[in-house]
Amino acid sequence: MRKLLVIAHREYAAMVATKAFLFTLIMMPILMFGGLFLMPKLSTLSGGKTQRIVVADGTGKLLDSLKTSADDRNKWIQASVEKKENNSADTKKLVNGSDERRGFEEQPDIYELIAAESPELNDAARLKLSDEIRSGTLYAFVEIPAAVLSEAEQTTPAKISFVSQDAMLSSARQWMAAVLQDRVNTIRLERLNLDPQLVAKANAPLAVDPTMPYTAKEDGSANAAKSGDTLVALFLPFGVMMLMFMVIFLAAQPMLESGMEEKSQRIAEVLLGSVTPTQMMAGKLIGNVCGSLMIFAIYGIGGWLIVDQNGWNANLPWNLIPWFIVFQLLGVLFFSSIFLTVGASISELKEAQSLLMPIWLVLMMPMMIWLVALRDPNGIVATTLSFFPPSAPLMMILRLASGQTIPAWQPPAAAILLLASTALVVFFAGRIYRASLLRTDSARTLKQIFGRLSNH
Amino acid sequence: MIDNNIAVHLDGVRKIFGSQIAVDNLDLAVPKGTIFGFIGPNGSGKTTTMRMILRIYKPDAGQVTVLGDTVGDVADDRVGYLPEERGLYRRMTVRRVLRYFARLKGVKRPDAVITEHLERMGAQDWGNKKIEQLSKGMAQKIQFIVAVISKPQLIILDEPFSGLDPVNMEMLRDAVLELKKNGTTVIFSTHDMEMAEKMCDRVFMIYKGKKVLDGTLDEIKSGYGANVLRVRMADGSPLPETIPGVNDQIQSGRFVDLQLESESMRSTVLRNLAAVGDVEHFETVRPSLHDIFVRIARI
Repeated sequence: MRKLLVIAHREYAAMVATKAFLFTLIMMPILMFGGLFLMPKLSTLSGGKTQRIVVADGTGKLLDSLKTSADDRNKWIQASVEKKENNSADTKKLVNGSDERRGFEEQPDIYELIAAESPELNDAARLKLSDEIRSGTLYAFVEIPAAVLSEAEQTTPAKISFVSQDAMLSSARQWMAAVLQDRVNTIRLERLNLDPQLVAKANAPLAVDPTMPYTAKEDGSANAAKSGDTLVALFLPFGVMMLMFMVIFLAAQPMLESGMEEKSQRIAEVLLGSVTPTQMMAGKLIGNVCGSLMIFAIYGIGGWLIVDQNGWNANLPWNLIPWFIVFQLLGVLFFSSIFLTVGASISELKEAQSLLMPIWLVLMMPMMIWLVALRDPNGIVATTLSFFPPSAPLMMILRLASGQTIPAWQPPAAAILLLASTALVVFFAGRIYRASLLRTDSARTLKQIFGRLSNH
Repeated sequence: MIDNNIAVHLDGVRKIFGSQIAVDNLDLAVPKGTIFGFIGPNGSGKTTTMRMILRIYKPDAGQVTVLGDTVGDVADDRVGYLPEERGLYRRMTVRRVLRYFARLKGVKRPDAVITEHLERMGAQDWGNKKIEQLSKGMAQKIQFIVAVISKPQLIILDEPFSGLDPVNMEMLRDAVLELKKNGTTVIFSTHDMEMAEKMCDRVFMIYKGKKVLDGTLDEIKSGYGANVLRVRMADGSPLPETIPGVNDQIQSGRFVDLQLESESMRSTVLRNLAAVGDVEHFETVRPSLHDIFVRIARI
């Protein structure tokens, strides 16, 4: 036991007391979640340009409306930038061309609309304008066919072409589509002798608000969920799953390096003069699990502070913590044993990539299909993956955090299955580890690694 | 029956890796308090035997008894080990490495012991240096301290002198002799036959996994007899290619060593040489350990 604790202590210190660990500890959440916060900031850096757009209006009735809308929009933007007050709903409609909310704020571009030389373009004109786009002197050109206003075309709308380098993602295209739709609708309704304002009132959109289930207050009355709770309910399970992934990743990676260092630097033989391979492996895993608990504590406290600051406490699934710890410990043991064995079987880090890629992919599978699993946590895919040992930790915690009722027998059953698999993995990993430590060659395939079971 | 005067006892030990027999039916007894030389060509089974004594490997057949204990595969804190290929955590400081290995061996209050060892090795200023900052010789001294830090009753040194300069070699040799003086049993393997002759009480040679020599130096040398003649002709002229009664001729500097068919052939050979020229130098030579090693390894 003394030797186990000595090894565990060294392993723990080697894991957490390095600059690389500290760097990864900080960078991991930034890489995982930082994009959500950085994207809006980054988008403002590229905005605020003047975009020249040539419009070939085959109808002869839409260009003026477009120009008027663009002028109004540009004036609003300039005024808003000066006042830094561009958050009102009216501003958004003006800037985006519709009431649709965007995911984040950005510095909008100014649109300069220019009438084409001819309302209908020929191929020579299209090529010339395309060249201007490629050279950067023009942002886009638009062809509006006369048939757009034809009543006969209403069932099969005529297509307006918007040509630019980034046509698919262009904000200008979205703005133009909204403004043209508005204007064309008005013209069509007038032709049908219908009052556009009355039609707009009749078509006023209905709001079907996503709301979380009510909770009971102390007096027995229903407590409505706060607005924003729906988003929290969507992203909280993802956050919990990512937390577990980060803990497993940060814990397993040092095991790979530790196994490899002791093999390649020939430290293993010195150690084996003092301890058995089983003691070595067990001590390392104990130290590793302690390290993983520390990571969990750091991220857990950090996450709780964020949740507390934003008043999301009510949504926190406190009841999950015991299950989280169970699946995290088993997950760490499962993957750390595999990583340690692979580390002891190879001589260079690059050799680990091909061996570990399939294992990583299975571990990360729940992260790839988390939305599907969250929509139907009791579906066949989510249920199966939560019983498949390599994906079980992440998938089961995602299901549990989804807020939906999971059959009560499933979490303990999955934990028992994972525990049995972990014991099996630790047993075989220990044997392979013992056989690999003193070998000077590398195993490049799983077959070679398992082949060592028979050589000791 | 366990003999209390024997530190290590191997009885019919065999170890096989795949289809290769590394050690075959090996018997060995290392008396307590001796320096026991382990010699043999590369790949002969020395390291495998030492790893079995350390219980890093389990024998496929036979029994290994170390310090009276034949049970289990738990590493023994009474045994110290210096492996042939040195290994230390490169990014750890000297003192932390030594503290770690001392604790693994159950040393209580290791800091005082570490300081004592560092001072004895003239390495008192290296405590806070990282292993990667040390020269090869310095690292080897630290590795030696790792092996002896727990004051083991038995210490196994695999090629302890390889790569050391003469000064450090002397220092390490003195340290090994001091271990013996304090009653420690020392097993060490070496390719340096001169060093083995100087230091070892007994020598054991393994070749192709089998024991070929085992005894004190006198026993071994007398076993190989005095059937080597060292000669030199007066004018330095070459000897005839074939001399009756001589199996082999080996040039040894200004002399030629003649391997006789038997000790009784000495007079016959002298007469034969005198017949072809003036014999300036003629002496009977006892074979060195080096000669015996080469002779066995050539067979």
